[in-house]
Amino acid sequence: MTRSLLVFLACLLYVGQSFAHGPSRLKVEESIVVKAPAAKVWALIGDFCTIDKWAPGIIKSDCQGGNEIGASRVLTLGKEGGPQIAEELQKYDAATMTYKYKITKTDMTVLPVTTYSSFLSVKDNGDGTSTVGWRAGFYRGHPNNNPPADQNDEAATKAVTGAYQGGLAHIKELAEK
Amino acid sequence: MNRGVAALTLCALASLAGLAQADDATPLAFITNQGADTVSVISLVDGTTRKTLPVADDPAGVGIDSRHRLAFITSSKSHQLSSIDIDNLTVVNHVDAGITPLGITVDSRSGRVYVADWDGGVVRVFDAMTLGKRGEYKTGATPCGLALTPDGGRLLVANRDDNDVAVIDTVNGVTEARIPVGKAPYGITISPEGHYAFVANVQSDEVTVIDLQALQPSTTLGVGDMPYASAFDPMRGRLFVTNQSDSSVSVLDVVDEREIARIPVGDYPEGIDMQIEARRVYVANWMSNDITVINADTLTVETSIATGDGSRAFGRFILH
Repeated sequence: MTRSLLVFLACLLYVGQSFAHGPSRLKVEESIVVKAPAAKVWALIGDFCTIDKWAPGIIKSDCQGGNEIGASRVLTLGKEGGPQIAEELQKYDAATMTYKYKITKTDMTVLPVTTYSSFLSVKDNGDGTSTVGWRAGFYRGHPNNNPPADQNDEAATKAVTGAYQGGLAHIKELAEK
Repeated sequence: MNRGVAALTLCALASLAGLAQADDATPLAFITNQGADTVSVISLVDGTTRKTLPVADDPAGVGIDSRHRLAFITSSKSHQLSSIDIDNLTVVNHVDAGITPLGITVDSRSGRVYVADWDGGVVRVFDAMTLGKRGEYKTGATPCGLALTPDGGRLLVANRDDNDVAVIDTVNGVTEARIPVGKAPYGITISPEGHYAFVANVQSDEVTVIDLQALQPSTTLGVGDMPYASAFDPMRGRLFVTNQSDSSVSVLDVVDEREIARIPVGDYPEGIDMQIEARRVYVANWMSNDITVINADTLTVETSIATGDGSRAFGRFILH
C-alpha cells in the first residue's frame, strides 16, 4: 500500500517535471464527414462573422470587416456578460473553402491558450459528402515553467479539442437537416 | 563558346560520376518530427524517405557534421542530445544536455557541437564523436537559435527573451557583444563569407541584418507573420524566411533590402535549409506535416514531401 503510494507520487513528480520544462507548441486536429455537399456546408460556416450561427456556446459574435484579412470578431460565450474571446481573420479563400484566424485576446477560464491560430476548411469528397476540418496550433495558457493545472498543456488541449468536437458535431447536425 | 561546351561536358561527367558513386554521396535531409518523436531521413535526389527513425521525446533541433558523418538532434522533453550515424541511420549515442536543449550548430573541423539550453540560459559544447562535454557558455535569457562564423571562431546566440544576439568568442568563451535586435529573435543564419548574420524576430515580424565586422545591426527588413528561421542563397544574395503564422516563405533581396516574393508553403513553416548548387530550398511545415520544396531561381513550389507529425527541423538539416 505504502509502496504503491510512493510509486504513484513518484509518477506524479515525473509527470509534473516533464511538463515543467518550457512549453512546446500543441496541435489539435479534428474533422467530421458531413452528408451534404461542400457548397452547402461552406454556405453555413464560410462566413467569418457568423460563427455564432453554428458553434455551440457562442451566443454573440461582434464582428467587423466581413471576410477581409484583418477582420475581427469578439465572441461572447455562454450568456450575456459571459467570457469573451477576440479573434482576427488571417487568411480567407472561398475558392478552396478555407480560412485561418488567430486569437488576439482570450479568457483563461474557458480557453487557456496563447499564440493560438486556427484553420477551418471544407473539402468536397466527390460523392455528395464533404469533410470539415478544424485544426489549431497554440501554446498552453501559462507560458512559463510549472503551470497551474488549469493552464497546462493538457488543459489547453482539452479545451480546444472539446470546442472543436462540439462545433463539428453541430455543423454536421445543421448541414444534414 | 567551346570553353563553355567543355565546361558543360565536364559538369555532366562529374554529375554522372557522382551518380555512379556509392550511396554516401546522396544528399539527405534530417527532419525532426516533434509530435511523432521521429526523424524522417529523406533523399534529396528522389524525395523518398530512406528511414523514419524513432528518437527521444519531442525532437526539435538538428545539426549535421558532414566530416564525421553524424547528425545531431535535441529532444527538449527528454533533455537529450542524440547523435545519428548517417551511414547506418541509427542513433549511436545520447547524452543529458540540460533542461531544455533546443538549438544546435556544429563545427565539423573542430568536432564541436553547440547546444542552446532554452531554460538553462547556457550553451553547452559537446564532442561530436563522444558527446563528452567540452565547455559551457553563459548566455542571455532563453537562448534558442545558434550560428557559427565560417571559421568557427564566433558563436552567435539568439537570446529570445532578451531581444538580443550574443556574440561569443569560441576560443576563450568571452561574450564580445550583445547586439540588440527585434522582438523575440529565434533562428540565425550567417552568410558563407561571414560578413552578415540574419536574425528572424518572431514577435516583430522582421529580420535584423547584423554587420559582423561592426558587430552592429545594419538594417531591418519586414517579412510575414511570426518569422522563425532563414536560409541564405549566396548566388543571388537572397534570404528565404519561414513565416510561421502566415504559412509562407518571404524572399528578401538583401542587396536591395526589400522583400521580392512571398511564397505560399505548408502550414506553420519552421525549419528551412538550402542546397545552393541544386537551387532548392526545403521548408519543414509543423502543422501540415510535410516539406515544401522551393525552386530557388523561379521562386515557385516544386513539390511537397510527407514527413511525420510536427516537423520542426530547427537548424541546418541537410547533409550536402
